[in-house]
Amino acid sequence: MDCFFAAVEVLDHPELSGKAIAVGGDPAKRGVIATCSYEARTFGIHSAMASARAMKLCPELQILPPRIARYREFSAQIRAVFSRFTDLIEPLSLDEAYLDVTECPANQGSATLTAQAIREQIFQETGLTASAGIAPNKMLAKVASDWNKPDGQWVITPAQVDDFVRQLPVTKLSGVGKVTAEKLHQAGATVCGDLQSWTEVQLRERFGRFGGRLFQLCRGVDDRPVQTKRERKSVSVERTFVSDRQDIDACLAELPELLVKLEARLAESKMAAGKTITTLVVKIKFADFSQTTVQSGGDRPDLGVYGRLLHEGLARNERAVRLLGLGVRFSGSTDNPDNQLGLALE
Amino acid sequence: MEFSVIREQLLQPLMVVSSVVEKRQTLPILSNIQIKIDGGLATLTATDLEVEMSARVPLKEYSDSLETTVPARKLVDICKAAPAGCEVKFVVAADKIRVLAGRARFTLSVMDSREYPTISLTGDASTIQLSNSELQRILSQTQFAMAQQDVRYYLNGLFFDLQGNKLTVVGTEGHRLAMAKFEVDQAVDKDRQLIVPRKTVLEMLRLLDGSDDAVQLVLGDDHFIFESGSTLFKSKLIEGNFPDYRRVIPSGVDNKLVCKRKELREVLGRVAILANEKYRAVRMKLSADNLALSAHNQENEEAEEDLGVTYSGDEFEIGFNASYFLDVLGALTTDDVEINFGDSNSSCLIVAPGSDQAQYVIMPMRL
Repeated sequence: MDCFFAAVEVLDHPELSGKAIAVGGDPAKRGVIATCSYEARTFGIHSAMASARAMKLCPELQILPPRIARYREFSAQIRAVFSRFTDLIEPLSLDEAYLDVTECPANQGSATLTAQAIREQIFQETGLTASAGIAPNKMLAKVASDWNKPDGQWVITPAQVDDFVRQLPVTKLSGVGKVTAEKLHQAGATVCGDLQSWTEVQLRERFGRFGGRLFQLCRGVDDRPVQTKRERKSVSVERTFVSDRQDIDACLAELPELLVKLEARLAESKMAAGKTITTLVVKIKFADFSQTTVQSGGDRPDLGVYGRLLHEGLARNERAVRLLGLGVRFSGSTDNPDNQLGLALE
Repeated sequence: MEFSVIREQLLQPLMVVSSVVEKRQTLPILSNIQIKIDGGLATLTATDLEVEMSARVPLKEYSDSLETTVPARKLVDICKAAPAGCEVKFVVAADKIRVLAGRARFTLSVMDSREYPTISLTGDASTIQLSNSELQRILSQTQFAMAQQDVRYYLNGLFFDLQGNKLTVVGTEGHRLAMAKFEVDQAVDKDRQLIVPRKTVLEMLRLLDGSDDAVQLVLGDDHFIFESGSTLFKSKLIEGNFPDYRRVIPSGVDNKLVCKRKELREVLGRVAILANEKYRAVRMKLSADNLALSAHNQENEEAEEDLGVTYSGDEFEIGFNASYFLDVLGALTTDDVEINFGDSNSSCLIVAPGSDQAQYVIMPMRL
């Protein structure tokens, strides 16, 4: 979806149409931008930017608080449209999904026409615009979906893959962030074509396990299937403080409230039911934005254990604390298959 | 200050008590057991902060009352390794304890008994009495269905539901449920509902020997106590609401099957050999007086066996995790077993014919 949260807000508040708006946290409370309108983007504002910085770039920017429940309603409508075309849907977030339409009979099997139809139906039913990428695999489809935004689509046919990928900047590959991009540039690789001359062994030596994946990605190879079920591996909650917490006692005082939130999150998560907790995690972000996590074994959220982990984590940096998070990780294996039915306990 | 005790009188209570000591502790003192000497008796206590186990041991000799704590594992090992029938003598100093067993002499470090954590009991409680063997029956008939380290922490234990003189004990991990009932002699004034943690249940089962001796259970607002002979076992409770188990027990059962319990157990055991190792899915095909069981694995190997049963209900097929069935068939003791089916997607209810003392609900697997 094109700037989804912001687009929903404009839909609900037509007077905001054509203005620089964003959805995100309060600039006075260290909030960050979640999404912003295209008008706001012309000022250089982007998601994950501190709201305070966004306000500096564009003083007339209107930042609206997020209304997740409302976005969920739209998300459900959009997914309903998807499901008319295929059952193989892998949601990535509220407004993004991979769809495998290989076996989809609509439009004489044309994926391009199917994407067109999905976007039209979404617009008719929600008034929101969407962009699509059509390609032989997930990695290329994701790149293509960004190619003709907003309200557009882009096709990479199997015959075009090689040419397309050779020109593709390495920064467009998933998993290549600032650090890897810098390393790649130093090694003289700006586009995937440059990378193709490297052997797999060379890439692995340089980038570890990710090197193996890079070897495939730079050739446009991605054989990950569209996964309709995602397994939840962890659950966590966190809080950014309006003012930094100066000492350990101030941090400890935050734990009970975070714990209550975590337990509530666990209780309501359908995907967590039946899973086994193996690890408890504390995340700390310090005033200098450096971040650390501390973990220990455990089978349920426990204030005492979290307190101990907090002590351990705070010893790593003398600065005040701007964010605290608590989480649990689950054991990787589930003991029961999907087809085992459950008792109606709730 | 000295005291002595006969090895054989010390060893068993010492092992029982030290069984609650965790291998890895959050506090150093939790690796110790507490010894209290008072009036010719030693009381040994160990805790992991969730449960607390104590036992009394008669002393052969003693000079004065005292309290101290000593490393649990080391003391157990010393007593185990001591010659049979010997007298174990303890000589207590401020920060050390000397243990003399046979001709061996040990010096162990001690920690201040005043630092030893105890589980404080607050709120009010009801006490019931039942026989060791009855409690053993109720627990062993339900414990296997408890969840283990489930995120739904309130399932990681057994639910004790005491109403008047009726005690119902329930365990469930979400796919199957086990329930056992018992009537106590003396009705309680106040109904009690509590979740006893998994560790407490399993520890309690180890203490039960199936005798006719009476045991006492204290069901409290925030604690649970088991008392038998000289052993006292206290436990905290799992907070939270246990699901309404009555809702998942199927009623209006149409398709009743009766068969020999041991026969079904054996047939299931054979057929499950070629089921998927992890999920152990077994297919059951019901028809007039016949139960056809089959299973296959990822390599497409197959097992089939028919069992003669008493059945006149609908013909249909249903799949189950064989382990869930085997647990139930192992927990029941009667010759015959009665299985009440609904349809392919509904739970089944398993009981001993004509009895509702133990009831089991199992959800099927979609075929």
